[in-house]
Amino acid sequence: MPLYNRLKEYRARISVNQQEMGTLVGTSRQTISLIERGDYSPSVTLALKIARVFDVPVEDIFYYEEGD
Amino acid sequence: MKTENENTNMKTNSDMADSPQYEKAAMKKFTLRSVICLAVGGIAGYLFAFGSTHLKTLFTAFTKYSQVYFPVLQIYFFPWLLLVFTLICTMINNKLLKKSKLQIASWDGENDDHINIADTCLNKVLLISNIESVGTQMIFAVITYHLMKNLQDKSNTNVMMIFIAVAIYIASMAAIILQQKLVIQLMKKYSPEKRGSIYDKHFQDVWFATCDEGERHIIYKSCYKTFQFMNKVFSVCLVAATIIGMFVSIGILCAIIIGFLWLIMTCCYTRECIRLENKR
Repeated sequence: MPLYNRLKEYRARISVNQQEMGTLVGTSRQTISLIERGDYSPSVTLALKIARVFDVPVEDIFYYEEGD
Repeated sequence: MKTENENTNMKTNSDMADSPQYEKAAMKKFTLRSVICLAVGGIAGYLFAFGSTHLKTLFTAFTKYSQVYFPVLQIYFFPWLLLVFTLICTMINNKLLKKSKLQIASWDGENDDHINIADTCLNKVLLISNIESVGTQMIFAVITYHLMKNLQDKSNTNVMMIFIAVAIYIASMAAIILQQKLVIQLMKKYSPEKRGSIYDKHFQDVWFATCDEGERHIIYKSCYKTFQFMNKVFSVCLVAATIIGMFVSIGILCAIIIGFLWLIMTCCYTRECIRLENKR
């Protein structure tokens, strides 16, 4: 089941770049880039950390559509 | 998105792999491939045996000429080949390093494109410097083959060329280390969390410890792909060494070394899998 995300959109709302986002969640700029491009699905821990930064539920940022 | 498509394909393939029909179809293909390989092997074997006298003459002639010309090439050609090879690799790497420096300098902290280009250039530098490292060692091994015999010939030219080759080899190694050091320095500019010094013997462990889950995911995937590919390479090389050994006096060391390396790789991988499984 493919995993989609709205990370770039949320990041733009609070005006942080990928480097800063990586620092906030304890990961690298490259991983943030991989997640946004859909080339990597983050671990549960990382997904929760990302959601906490924006103060939203994980499902608001990461979602999947069944039947794809 | 690429990952979603890959995940979909993987899911479809693993779903299919559960069915008895898939097993039956796979077995049929396997049987057919085996029969074809046996047939091709049999025909090739017959042709080899049939033409073995001619092949033997051909290889004997090749061996005779190589025994005459190889020592000349060894001393007078391969040292300069080593120099040209080093210069070409160094020039290409310098160009790539300049390009990546420019891209990193243009990076505004937001636009990914500059960093992606810089990252690609730096990875190419690492690839070329690894090729340079292995290529240099191989050429040096050719130059120093029967070194003691060449030195005992007491020809001043021989001795001088060997010293030139050694100097070029050392210069090449120094250039490779310098290039890799520059790559690490540049990578640390856009990935400041990275740690490690190229001069540290534990550099690979230290660097890996600073990689996060996304970067490790790439490393793991690359390693597994390499393992799969090397299995095929080793099997082809072992067969080739066995067949060539039937006609040319290459000794059995070639086949033994290939088999030994293949064995080490397989055992290392399997042992690590078992260890990681047991850790759960």
